[in-house]
Amino acid sequence: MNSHSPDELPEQAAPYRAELLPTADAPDPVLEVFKRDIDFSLVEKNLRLSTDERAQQLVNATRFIARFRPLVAEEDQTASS
Amino acid sequence: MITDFEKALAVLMQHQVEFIVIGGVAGTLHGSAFITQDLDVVYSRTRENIRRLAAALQPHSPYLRKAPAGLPFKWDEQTIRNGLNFTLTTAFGDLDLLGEVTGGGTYSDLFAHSKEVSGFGVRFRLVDLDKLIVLKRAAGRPKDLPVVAELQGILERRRKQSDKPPEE
Repeated sequence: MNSHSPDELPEQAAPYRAELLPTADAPDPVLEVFKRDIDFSLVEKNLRLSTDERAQQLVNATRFIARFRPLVAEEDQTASS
Repeated sequence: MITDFEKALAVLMQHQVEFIVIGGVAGTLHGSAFITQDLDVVYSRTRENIRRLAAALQPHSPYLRKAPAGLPFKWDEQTIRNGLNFTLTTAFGDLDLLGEVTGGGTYSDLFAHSKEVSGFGVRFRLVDLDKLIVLKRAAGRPKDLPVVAELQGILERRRKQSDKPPEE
């Protein structure tokens, strides 16, 4: 019988089986349909940046959203009242 | 609430928490154009790391994101040991702490599929692109489909690039 004290809890309930998962490049017709609508020019621009620059770009984008989201919400409220 | 990624990672690194960044932030760092608002990490479940994680977040008001306001919640080593995956709000934004992730297993399972990178003013471990796609596919969420398609496109471009003969 498997009984464990709280100090002996197994890290996982069942062993992790990586071989049962689809690989990253396994083809999927649904994904192919989605790919048609993706603007890969943006991606290609990002791929020319360093990891650090991509991180900075995300920080800038989230700061922009954080700054303007409340203003847009305020505008919406004014328009609906 | 939008996460302050620089602050969140700095707090974890200052306390020497062992973790691997996955999710949308990992996608961005691999070149994705999708913008994410929270930080997802897989953390090590060793006793020492749980102690560090408890100490790291304690001053930043961690609370369960989907719990009703007012529910008693104490962030300490015992809580982390008794739980596994935590979706938290903190003073620096939303933070998902995963002891185990579908398709990736635990921190030690994922470690070999991660590498150290620089970003947000610190150095930290980031899941590799192949594994990130596997995680997203294993999660099976419809909202991830465009992201997975884009990440596969990035993988294809990277492979094409590495197949090219070196320029003279």
